[in-house]
Amino acid sequence: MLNKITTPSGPAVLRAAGPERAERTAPRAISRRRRAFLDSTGQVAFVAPAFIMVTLFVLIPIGIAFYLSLTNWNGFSPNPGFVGTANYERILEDDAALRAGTFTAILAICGTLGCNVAGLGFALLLTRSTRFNSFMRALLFYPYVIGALMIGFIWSAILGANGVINSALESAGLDKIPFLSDPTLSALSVIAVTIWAAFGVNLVLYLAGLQTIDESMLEAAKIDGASTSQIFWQVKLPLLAPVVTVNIVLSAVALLKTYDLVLSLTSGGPAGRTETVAYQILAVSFSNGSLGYGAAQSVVLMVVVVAVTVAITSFRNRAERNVAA
Amino acid sequence: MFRTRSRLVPVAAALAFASLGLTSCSGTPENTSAEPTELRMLVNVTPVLTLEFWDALVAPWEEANPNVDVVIEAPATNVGETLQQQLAAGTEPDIVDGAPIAMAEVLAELPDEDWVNDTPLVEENAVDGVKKIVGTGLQMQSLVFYNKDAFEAAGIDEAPTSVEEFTEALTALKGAGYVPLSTAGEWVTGSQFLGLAGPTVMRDEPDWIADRNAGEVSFAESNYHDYLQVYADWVAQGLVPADANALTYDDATAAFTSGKAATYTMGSWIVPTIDEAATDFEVGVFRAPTFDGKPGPLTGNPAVTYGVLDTSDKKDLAFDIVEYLTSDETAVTTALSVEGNYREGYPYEASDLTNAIFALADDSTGFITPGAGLGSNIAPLGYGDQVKVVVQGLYVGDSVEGGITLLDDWWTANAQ
Repeated sequence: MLNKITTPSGPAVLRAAGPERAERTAPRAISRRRRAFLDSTGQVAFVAPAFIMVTLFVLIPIGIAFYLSLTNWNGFSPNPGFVGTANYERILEDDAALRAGTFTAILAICGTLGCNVAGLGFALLLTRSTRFNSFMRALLFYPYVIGALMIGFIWSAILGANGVINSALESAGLDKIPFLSDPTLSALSVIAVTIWAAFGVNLVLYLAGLQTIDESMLEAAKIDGASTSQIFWQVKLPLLAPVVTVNIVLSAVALLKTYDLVLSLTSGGPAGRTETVAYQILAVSFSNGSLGYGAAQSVVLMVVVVAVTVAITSFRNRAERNVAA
Repeated sequence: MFRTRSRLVPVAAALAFASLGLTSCSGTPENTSAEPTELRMLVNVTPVLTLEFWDALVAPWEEANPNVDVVIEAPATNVGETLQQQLAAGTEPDIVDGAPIAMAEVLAELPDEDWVNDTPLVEENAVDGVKKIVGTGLQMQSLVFYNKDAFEAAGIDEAPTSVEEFTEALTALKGAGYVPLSTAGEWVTGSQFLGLAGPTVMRDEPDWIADRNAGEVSFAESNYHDYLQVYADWVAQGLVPADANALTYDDATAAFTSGKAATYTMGSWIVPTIDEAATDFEVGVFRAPTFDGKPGPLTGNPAVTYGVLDTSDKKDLAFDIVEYLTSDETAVTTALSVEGNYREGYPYEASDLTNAIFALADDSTGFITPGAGLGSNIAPLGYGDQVKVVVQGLYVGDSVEGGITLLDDWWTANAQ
């Protein structure tokens, strides 16, 4: 192996050191079979820890969830009964599950769009390194650091029937706004608060992406007479394609699993209108004592998340290939 | 390859050790007089049943058993869900307070002794004749607390007994400038509806839950349907706050204690909060009105209940402390007074409002089970949440028929 090491300029290191030294230090010839064995053993040794961890903490739990989804386990009985695909069939007939699925899809689409538009928009505004921009970056990222549960409580105190806004309106002799009691407004409130809480991470990723763009390309575009808008659409955005992909995938996957913010902001209300799939899974599994059914919903959610991730990545591949070209 | 296997050995050993730790029962072998031991007790924590309250409640027993440390544990969310998670992880406690009767299968059978048989509703709460949960007292439900000044201002001379009279009273109270009936979102919406409708259904059909489990009756053909229609009319007429779904339990309580709302449907547990608020008006209480206005049994359920986990290896000690908590006069009256609960033979110095509830209990012909049932005849887990969704739906334009269908479908899908 040693005699194969080369410098960028070409000649072998050992050869450069002279033929005598090369003769003295040359290793014994290793048979091809033994070398292949050692190579494969090395590869296995490197991969094994990760494989064991993934198996223990990802594959086995998924397997257990899938097994439970085929049972009627209530979460505490020692003997769950096998029910086959009944739980999966039940999902299709369950209005609450379908409603939660619909709201989750709306939240994921609107939230992903909102997080990325806000993240990229603020990133463009805060690209230059100034004190004010540094302060604003920290300020806008801050909600992401606070737990979603806490954010929900904070916003429920602001938007609630007796919250800050409605109390002020009432004091001014105006009608209250039913932010959390009207189905449409409560759904919009959840989406808006979710975007507010989550776009900080998109902002940071877009800022990092913008800083990798070669200034000379932007200068060239300016010299060619491109407007600010053209520079964004024709230069910056195409070059940000990989970052856009990462941001969209991260946002979509995170939003498809939204639970804690809904719990603390609306408790799924009014009348279950803002329940998400994750909220439903927890409610069904524990409050209703139907852990088998909850596991079936979890498996479906996992499949959807994987499918969405693959779909987005495939869709974005072309844009990324264009950048590479 | 050998190296890889050798790395696996400590990992596998560690995992095996961890899994043994997880699946083994908590605690130590049976306590002897010389051996210190620990009893874990999962308890329901509320604004009045605080951790400090629980520590003080078990303190005399700990003093009498100096070698035993009773560890009070608060649930992460609620007792039922936390116990379920602990059972799945193999970390369940020895004793549980407030376990749903649906989880009785994980509890140990209680000894056939006087201290068990003398507890309230223990027979009714037995599962297939086996007693697994004992209560300290009775918690009265289906009560309507009212602001006497508001009633006077609205020209209401007597507490309403029928639904029709109650609706008239609410209308008059609205006219007098009050929020007629204080309510909220969260769990309150469903709980209040069951509190109001329960007496009418359970009085006339005591076996309704068992019959519903057997598929012999339905919501659509029960008084629940009619009461839901009444509630929908209240929503339409503005007799309940339009923004109720966005209000919290504390908001609803504050609306009543501040004098803004004239009536408040709640269980007897609200009494200490009302007493503490020191309202500048007198608070009265009457039983939830029925369709025909005829009185009947009061709705009640065992309060501050205890069960011993079947997996506990310290059952004798666990039974001993449960016996103390449910039969010692000081322990019982302490638990009764903090929530305003009732138990015959255990008098305590109570507030006027609590005494007014006791008077209702004394006048009643017994007790009937609340909406979710007792013992073997219980609603599926999550029933209260489902009722909550249906009632909240009335505020956002859902139909009564749709809600009733939802309840029937849900019960059918979830009945064991």
